[in-house]
Amino acid sequence: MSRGISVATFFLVLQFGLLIFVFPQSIIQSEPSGHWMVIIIGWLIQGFMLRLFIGGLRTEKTSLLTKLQQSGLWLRLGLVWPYILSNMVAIGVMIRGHAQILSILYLPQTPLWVLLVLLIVTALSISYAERDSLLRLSLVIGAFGLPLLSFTIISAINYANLDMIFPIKPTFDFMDEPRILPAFSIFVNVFGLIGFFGPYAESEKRWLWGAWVVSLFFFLMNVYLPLSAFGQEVADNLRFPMIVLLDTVRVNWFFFDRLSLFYIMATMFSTLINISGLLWVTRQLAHHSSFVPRLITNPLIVGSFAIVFAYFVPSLEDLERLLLSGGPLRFFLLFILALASVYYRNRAKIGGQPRA
Amino acid sequence: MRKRVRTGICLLAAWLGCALMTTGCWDYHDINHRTVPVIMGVSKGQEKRYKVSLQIPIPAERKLNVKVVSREASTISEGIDNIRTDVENYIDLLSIQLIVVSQELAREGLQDALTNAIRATAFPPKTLLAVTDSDMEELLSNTKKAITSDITTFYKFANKRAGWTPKTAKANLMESFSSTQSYTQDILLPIIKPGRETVLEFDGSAILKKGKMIGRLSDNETLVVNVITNRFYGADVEVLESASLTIRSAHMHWSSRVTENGPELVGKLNLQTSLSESRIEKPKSEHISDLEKLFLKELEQVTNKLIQTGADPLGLGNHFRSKIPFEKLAQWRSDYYPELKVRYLVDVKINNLGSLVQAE
Repeated sequence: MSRGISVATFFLVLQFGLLIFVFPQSIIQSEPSGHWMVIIIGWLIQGFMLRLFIGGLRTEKTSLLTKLQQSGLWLRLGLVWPYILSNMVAIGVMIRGHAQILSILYLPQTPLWVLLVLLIVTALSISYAERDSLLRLSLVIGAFGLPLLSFTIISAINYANLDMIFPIKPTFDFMDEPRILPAFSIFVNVFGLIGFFGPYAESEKRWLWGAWVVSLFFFLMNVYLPLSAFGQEVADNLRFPMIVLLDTVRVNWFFFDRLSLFYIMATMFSTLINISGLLWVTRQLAHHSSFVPRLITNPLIVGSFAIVFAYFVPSLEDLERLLLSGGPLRFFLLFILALASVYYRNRAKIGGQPRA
Repeated sequence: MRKRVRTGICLLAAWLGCALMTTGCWDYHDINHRTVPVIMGVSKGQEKRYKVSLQIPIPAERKLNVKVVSREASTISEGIDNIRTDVENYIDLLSIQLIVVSQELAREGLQDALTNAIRATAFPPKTLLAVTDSDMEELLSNTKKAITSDITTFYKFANKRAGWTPKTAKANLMESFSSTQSYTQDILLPIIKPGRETVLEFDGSAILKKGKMIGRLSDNETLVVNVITNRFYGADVEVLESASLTIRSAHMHWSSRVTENGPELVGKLNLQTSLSESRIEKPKSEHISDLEKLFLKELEQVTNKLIQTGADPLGLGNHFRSKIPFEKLAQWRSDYYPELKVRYLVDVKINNLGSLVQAE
């Protein structure tokens, strides 16, 4: 049972970090009303991918990671190495995005490379650990982060005005708007990790599906709290709607001045887990290979590459443009991995050979 | 074995990196070298467009010196920069509690200044805003003494559980910015003056439409607005012909619909009161109907006055957001608001008659 809750917390903690990044902004700006429909569509896509990756509620016998570790040449070149490259780019994008946000909001005078290195270096030592320690760490972080988050959300509910969330009729305007694509990539990013932490027992799978249901609540809260406090026409102009809302909240009895700091703290915890998970998977995938692949996938090397990549992205807008095209690409790659996972599961059921 | 050593070396490098990075030695400002201004004033300058004044407490041995520093500049950030040049400490703007704007500037329009203040993230969005029609330097010097003894003075003015009464308006920077962009909500800013025995005197409130001040409301009218927008907290004494009732709580419920003649609103106000004084031995029901008539008159007066100015600080447009399509909502203030008909129903309950018996 305790394994189950750590996997569920892992799922939730991974989602959370990307929520402030471009998510509320791209959803609020992509259409004038009815945001709940976009969120539910994204959530259902998540459910579909979850079904492909971990499949139903029965105990699994195979693990995608072991299969990929033992795979032959063509599969490695065609699937594993693009995935590793995509991981490096994803780490770079994440640290650049978060470093830029910290720089805009809290630390305008700190040089950017300091923030980039800071975000990676804390994740490095965790990536050398085992899978179980990573899950345990996510449970500890969830125990810190989720109460902080609930505290900030509850204090902001006082400022919400139910009338302002109207008009609520859903429209299909978002289909024409390229700004919705980054949000799409945020919905599926978590699967880069969840699929590789198997095999999951039956109780763990139940907890994972439960965590999927709870994440809908977080998505809706993140978009509808700023909308109900400010209204659509004002929130359209804000770059970070949730953070500005939290900065406006005044809690008289509390000794801290800025509540958004707690929100960002929870986000940074989640980024930590995200990066260390990605570094761990990258290291494990080259476990049985020769010297050079193992050198390339070493967390220190991957981290430095990500920092260099992140440093040379010119600005935050360029980063978002990268997400516009890179997001669907990563989704495509993860989709192929999901299909591979289904294939291996079915072969294990039939009783196929333990070779790719 | 070699693999373990290699992993150990990598981990050691990672931990060393952690130790170096998490000290944060890059850009700290020592607490001794910081100064934390509490109130900022923006008024019209004589040579340049703005005159920015900051009231800066400078900690000295065993006491607090409060200085008022003013500089003129063509933009507000340039003014703050000029002040930074001349003050010896690092000025930390993130703890400003109150920004006071002069009345001339408010009449010209604050939309650009508000937008830039939110963009720059220099001020916290929960800074309170106020308008003043007296001299800025006098206002800031007058409050010096109060700040010297208690630096949280301005927070207390706005704190519901400290000195805030429902006769004053309260608006923060984010709400004011929202009102310049919002289709259906305007805002009231309190008007303050330097007080003679007290720190500040409140002189009614200013109506802001799209960032421009277009009118004033008196104390009582501000109270009515606070009641209508469900911000009533505390107690307020209403004097009738033959009694005084203290209002303990006020809640407003709305129902709205759009007809061919225009939008219509019905507001039902529930007042819970207690009887504090009564001069003649009149039955309770008469006090109730007296207060209901008085309140109805005041509500209708204030609402009509506000509809005529064309600004909507009561947020009446918000009730129609689900009924009017979004593109047409952008013209709420010009197309629908002048035709709005509001009907009020007041329901008064006297819960507490005190220690004496009163007839029904």
